[in-house]
Amino acid sequence: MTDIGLTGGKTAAPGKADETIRAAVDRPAVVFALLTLGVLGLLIGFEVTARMAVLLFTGAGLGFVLLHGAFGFTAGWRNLVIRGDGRGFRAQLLVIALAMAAFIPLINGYGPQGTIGAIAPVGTSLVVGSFLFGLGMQLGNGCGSGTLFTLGGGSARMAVTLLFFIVGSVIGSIHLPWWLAQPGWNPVNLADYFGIAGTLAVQGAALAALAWLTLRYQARRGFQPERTRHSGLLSGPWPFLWAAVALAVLDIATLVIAGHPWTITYGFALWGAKGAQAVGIDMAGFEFWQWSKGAAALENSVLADVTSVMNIGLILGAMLAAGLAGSFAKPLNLSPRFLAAAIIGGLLMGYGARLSFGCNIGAFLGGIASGSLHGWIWFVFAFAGTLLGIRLRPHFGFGD
Amino acid sequence: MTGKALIYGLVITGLLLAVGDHLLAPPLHASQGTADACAPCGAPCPN
Repeated sequence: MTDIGLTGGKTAAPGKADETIRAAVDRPAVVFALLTLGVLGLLIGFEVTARMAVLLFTGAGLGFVLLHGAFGFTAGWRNLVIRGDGRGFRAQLLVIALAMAAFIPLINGYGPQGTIGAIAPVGTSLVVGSFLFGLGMQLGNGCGSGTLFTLGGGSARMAVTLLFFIVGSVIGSIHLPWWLAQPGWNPVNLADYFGIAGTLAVQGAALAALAWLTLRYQARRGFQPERTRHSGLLSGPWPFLWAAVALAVLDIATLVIAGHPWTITYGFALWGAKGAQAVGIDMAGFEFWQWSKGAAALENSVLADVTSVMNIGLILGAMLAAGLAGSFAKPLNLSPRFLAAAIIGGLLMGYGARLSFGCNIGAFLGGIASGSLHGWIWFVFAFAGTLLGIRLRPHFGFGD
Repeated sequence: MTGKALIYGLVITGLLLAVGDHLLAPPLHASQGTADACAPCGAPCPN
């Protein structure tokens, strides 16, 4: 197998790969995460449905994997651009390819009734939103999943990013109907044109071509991967390969259990809308929140919303992993420039995610794995935004 | 305030808000919040 990405996270100095220095397990973090997951799982199981409780634990599994794999989409793209290190990016392509192999048949008639893909409109809204998202994720130093798993891992700075991600999501939800009125087309499900086998072949070839291009780029840049620290299943860090396979399996499980792929940012819009309602703003008066899903989500308990429940699970799963790794909670770094980057990045990601129907998880991974054209367009414009974001990062005090 | 205390505080506050929202919401019936959507992102159904 070629170098598909073989290690996430922490690395040891050359020649010291065997000297595994393990930090002590953070027992309070582990107990807190397990206890909270248990109590919340019981509450959701009795008060909502057993299916929703299973989705809470699926989200926790995703958070656990993301943290141990240090599986950041933002850093993966940045490492490719700056250092020529395409391992993280190729691991993302692997997740998409594995998920796609199950998603496309399941969505197109071979799954449980009502199974839907992340298939969204193509147009101005998507182009503008994905560009803003790609820019914002470099300034916010994490995308949708990255914000949640690093917050769960103890990054207080990410709480600022999340807060403004939520604010941006609400503003985006209010503006989305206007953006959708701009030039665009209805969703394009590639399986309608190529069939199931054809879509798998076309997209598989495109993903392989992308992986090959990054390998060539990596060789041209002369990037040499460092030797890496040994991995432990519970204490991490995990190789990218483990994380990629686990993420694909859990995303497929989400599709089967929830009836749709793993999503993250819709939950942020819902949390913000419920918060706005709580302070007297009539969110139900805005068109987005009158559409069927929005209206139902706004009225119902947040614990009946799949995305919200999985997001909560993701944070707790990441906390559990960080506790087991002994890495929970980093020193606070809230310099004014970092704070400004978190605020601007959060706002851009929130607004961009609503306009472009999701983040790296909902649009890039979910969209392409579903065989939706919008997933590819999202990737192209988000990557363009990321290139700008990387150029801006030094102005906000980021060293890389 | 240490980073750990801040994270614990944020997570507990978030969970309390979620449980509070659950208690204030009408009883759940047929809708599970997603089954009637055309896409998980909440976009409207295509014409």
